[in-house]
Amino acid sequence: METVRVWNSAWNLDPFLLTALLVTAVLYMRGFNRLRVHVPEQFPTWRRDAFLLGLTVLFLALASPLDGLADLLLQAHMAQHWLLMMVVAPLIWLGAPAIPLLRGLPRETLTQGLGPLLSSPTLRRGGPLLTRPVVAWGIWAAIMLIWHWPRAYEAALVSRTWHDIEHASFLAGALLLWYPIIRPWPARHFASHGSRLLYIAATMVFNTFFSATFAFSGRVFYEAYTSVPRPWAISPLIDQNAAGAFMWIASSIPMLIAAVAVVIQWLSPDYKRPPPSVPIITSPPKPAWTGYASLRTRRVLQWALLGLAILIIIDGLWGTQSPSSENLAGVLPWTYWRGLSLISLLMIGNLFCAICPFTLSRKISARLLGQRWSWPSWLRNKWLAASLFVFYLWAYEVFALWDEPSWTAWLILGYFFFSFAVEGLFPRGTFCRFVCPIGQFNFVGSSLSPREVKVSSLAPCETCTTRDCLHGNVEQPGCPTGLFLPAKTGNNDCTFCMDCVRACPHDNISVQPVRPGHSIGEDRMAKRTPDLDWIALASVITFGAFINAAAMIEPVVRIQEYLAYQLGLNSTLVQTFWMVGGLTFLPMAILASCALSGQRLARVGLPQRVVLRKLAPGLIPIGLSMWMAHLGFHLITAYGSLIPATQNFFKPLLMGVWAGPLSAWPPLTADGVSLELFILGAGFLMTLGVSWRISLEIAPSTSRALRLAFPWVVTAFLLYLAGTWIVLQPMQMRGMVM
Amino acid sequence: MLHSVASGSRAKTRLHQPQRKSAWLGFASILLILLSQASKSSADLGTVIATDTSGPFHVTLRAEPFPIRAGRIFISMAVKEASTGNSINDTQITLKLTSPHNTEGIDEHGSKHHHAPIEVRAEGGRHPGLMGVALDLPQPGPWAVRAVIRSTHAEAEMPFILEVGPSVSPWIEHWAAFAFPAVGSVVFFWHQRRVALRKRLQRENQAQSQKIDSKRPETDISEGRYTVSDQ
Repeated sequence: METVRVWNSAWNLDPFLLTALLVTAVLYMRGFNRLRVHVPEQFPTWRRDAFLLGLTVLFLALASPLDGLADLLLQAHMAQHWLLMMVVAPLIWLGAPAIPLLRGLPRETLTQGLGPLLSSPTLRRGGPLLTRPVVAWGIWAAIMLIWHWPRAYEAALVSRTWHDIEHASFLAGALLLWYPIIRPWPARHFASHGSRLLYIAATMVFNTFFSATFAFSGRVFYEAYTSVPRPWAISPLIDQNAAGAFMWIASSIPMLIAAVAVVIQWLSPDYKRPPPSVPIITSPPKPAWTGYASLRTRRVLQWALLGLAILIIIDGLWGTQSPSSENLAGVLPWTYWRGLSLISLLMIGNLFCAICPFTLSRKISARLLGQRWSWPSWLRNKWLAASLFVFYLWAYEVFALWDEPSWTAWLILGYFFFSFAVEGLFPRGTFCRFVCPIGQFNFVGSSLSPREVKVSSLAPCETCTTRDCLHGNVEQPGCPTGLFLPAKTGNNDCTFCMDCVRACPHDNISVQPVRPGHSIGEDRMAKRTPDLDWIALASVITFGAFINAAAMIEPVVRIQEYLAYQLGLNSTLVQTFWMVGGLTFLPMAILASCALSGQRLARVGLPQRVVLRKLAPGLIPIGLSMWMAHLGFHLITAYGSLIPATQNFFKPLLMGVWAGPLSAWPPLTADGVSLELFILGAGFLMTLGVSWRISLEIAPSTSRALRLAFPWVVTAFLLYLAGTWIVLQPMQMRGMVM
Repeated sequence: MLHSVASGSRAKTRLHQPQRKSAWLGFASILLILLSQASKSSADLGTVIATDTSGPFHVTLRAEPFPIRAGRIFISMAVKEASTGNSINDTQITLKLTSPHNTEGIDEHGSKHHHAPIEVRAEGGRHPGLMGVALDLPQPGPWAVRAVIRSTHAEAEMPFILEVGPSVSPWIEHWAAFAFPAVGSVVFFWHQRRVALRKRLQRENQAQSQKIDSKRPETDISEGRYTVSDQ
């Protein structure tokens, strides 16, 4: 019974651990499959199996109940350490993972990201030094001795941080220990077979003396084990002796296997050193998968979203108004849709626009209303959309939209009405391109997407006379927002509708991986500087992230109340000043002063206006990271809100079948604040990179580029600090069940 | 022909070098990836904060992290038979914690505050044989705790005082998140330096080869080589 109890106890399914293991496995598999094509003799399938088995054993050592049991039994702890050092480490090296992991990375990350670092002399000197047999063995032995010293060992038992450090150093030491023995391809051969046998012998001698100390000791080394429950009633001393015996025998087995393998290699007449070969990057790009371009899939998803929108409207108009967290209109759009669409934007691309339900009626409205008017030329820009976005943020705050299900329902109905009218009266795509604030947010956000719809090769486009991607043909419509694919750059104005993919007669358009942020600083057509309307839109979205998040933290709410009281103003008016000032005057002042100071510092010949238009979009990443931190916070803290809202909605239909207590899922235990801060940090780093790239493009020298980028990087840093301050403040839980 | 062989061997060396370099970077990245995974242990037995015999039970309570600070902590509890020292698994443990300022009132901003006692029930912990509970202690100070232990045969209470220190500064609590952009900036700076260096070397190499080409007598090497091969 005790055994059952032990193995039923906690599995540590830490999401970070699982994600890291999965990412490692995927990278290795990608690289392995590519390399196997070029050098199959170096990558037989057993290498892949060994690596994946190594990761699995690592998972078992850290996540299985063995981890918990290790705090109560020294034997279990030794078994855990044995797995890390004597099983995981050799299995990992048998997989020869260095080149497969690098080849598994996206090509651009490898060549432009890691490439320059690969050539660093520091790394080139440090690696071989660490893996020299004497150094590697010395480090491993030192780690073993230090961590088994009672004070260090007990510190690791009572403190999670020290325990983490202990495990990390054991694994690092073991990887170093095994490196000269296995010499994973394409490692240099440091030592002869004889030296390797001596190395193994030295390890076994060390292990024998070390284990014997535990196996034959008459006193308990670690007092911590005397005050914990003793599974199977094993006394601490017997436990310690058994742990020593286990270390002795179990650690000798992998070393003996290694020794036998070295001897076989040595004696084998056929054995020769594996030939080096294969450059790092050789594989030709794979033909792009175009299954996503199916119109049927898009329609199904659009109808599904339309169904959800109808549910929201029904519940918003006729359902429970208070609390809003028990109404689908209070939960689905504000908690789920905002967060999930932003995540998809940053992880994949502009998925929401691709399956937007508002454009489902496009054909019907065009037939009914005839698309007889043309959109006024003075409105063919982003000014209207930017103004609507400001209006939305203002209305959200002043009318507490998140807390008013009926208003939410009317907002969605209004959206359907306007999209129907605009799409019916004006040419196709007018609503998406010039009016829809959601679309504009997605267009700006998708400049950081890792995917882009683009032509595979320019050659067919040079001879193409029909330009079906733009104009369409008899069977398929062209791009609804008027993008000409060969000249297009970035995702600006791209709704991911795939009309161009279907229309292209040469099958030359597909969704391709790109470096996030590569098009920031350019207009929707390559080599064109963005216009001021686009800058206004981008800055409203960037600064809107901070203004919107700040409006829900306690200090800002108190300041607004204080000002309203002192000035004798209506609180709505104060909020209006806050929103409009923060979204218009503040960005204008900051951006103008950055452009002016950058131009003066760098003494570039470009006009301020051009500097502003080139560099202001560089702040988009920090703005989007604030949106992500904010909306992600709502998603994480209220991820279970759907349960009570759905129960409430279907209560009349279910007639008590699912009538249990209204409850949300339990809150996640993940450290949300740290995650938010990490996201903000990533946004700052991206802004740093993008600003630097743009500055290098327009400044004549590196030192001038540095001076040109300086004010923008300072602004980004100040925004990062502002975001950090906001994240660390207590936030209102708007309309959520936690 | 000889010339061609030599250039072939140089080509091999050129191929080989980046591979070696990337092997070292691969080594470093593997270490980093694996270490990040290895640092996800859940072993957190905690430090003993109270141990006493009450009725038929001997109870040991541990807290992690230690020293205890306002905020989230995890308490593990082990119950043994006082007479035999054997672990007891069928107990229910309830902790009742009373805050140092167990008052109700209006604060300086006009908001109502109320610090009611916290009552939590320990459940299966992270370790076999231990019960555990995660707590959020909002205030520092001495918290009065009563552990109520119930088994099928007996019930006992164990009162003790839990000293809770002020919460740790967010700069320390989230140090890794704050360090991330700082370290990232340093790596970015290093990366850009390496990029600039590589570009400079490329330019210099190009200039060097142009210089050599300009000094070389104008002969058609490919034609000459073919001639030699044909012979």
